[in-house]
Amino acid sequence: MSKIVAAINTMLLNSDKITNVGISHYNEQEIFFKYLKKQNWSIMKTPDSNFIVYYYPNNDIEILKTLDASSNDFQGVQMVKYATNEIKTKEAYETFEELFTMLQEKTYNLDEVFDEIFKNDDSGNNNPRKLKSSSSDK
Amino acid sequence: MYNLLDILEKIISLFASSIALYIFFFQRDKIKTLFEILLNYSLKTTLSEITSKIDRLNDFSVNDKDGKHKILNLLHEIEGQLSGNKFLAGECSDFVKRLNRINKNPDGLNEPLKRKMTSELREIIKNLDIKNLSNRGA
Repeated sequence: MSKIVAAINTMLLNSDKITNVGISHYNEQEIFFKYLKKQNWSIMKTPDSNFIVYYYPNNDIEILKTLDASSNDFQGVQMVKYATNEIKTKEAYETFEELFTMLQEKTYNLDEVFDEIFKNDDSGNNNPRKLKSSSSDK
Repeated sequence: MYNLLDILEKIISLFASSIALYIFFFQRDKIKTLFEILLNYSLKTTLSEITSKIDRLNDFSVNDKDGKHKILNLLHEIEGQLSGNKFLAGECSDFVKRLNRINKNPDGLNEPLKRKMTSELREIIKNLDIKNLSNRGA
């Protein structure tokens, strides 16, 4: 079972292979994504701060993310479930948490947000090279 | 010719060697079991030591300079323990090889990689523990 932890860490090491990131239309704490452009996955944060990763062998996430889990929409959808409160290791929790945060960053384009912050930095030391030369002047 | 002491000595040595022969031929299984128990015990000790090191790996973060130093120390220790034990080195030769690569090139170590190795190692130890128990039961 805990091969999943190694697998997700491999995903984190190859985060450029994670694509089609999208939040569920009914639950903003569930994020769907594709790995290697063909595997369908999702990760969900539960109200008690556990994480659950699902793998869908037969269905495409583009459809799955429009389904409502509280109704009967998911009936007949096959999935494999991995939950942090079942694996119960610290590294599993940290791994799932990092994946969730990373997917959130991808959803909300945090890269661009951060770039914007650095671009509008008026303090004058946003350029690491400039910072280095000024410290060597002293 | 022979004096009494000589004869006594011969009798005693005959007696002693016949005990050895008896044990060798008829109680072989018991000796084998005893050795197996001793070997199993030492393997179990090593495995539980590695398990406690896994838990300590989780206490430190690669992102912190001091933590990274401690993590690398632990990884070196684990590599030494795995490759120093003939049985373990054979069981997880691929893992040891990858661990060695990390230890030789510590710059490439990050949190996901650490967690990946941690969870894989946990899995290896768990499987070995089960194998060990079922061997003894058989």
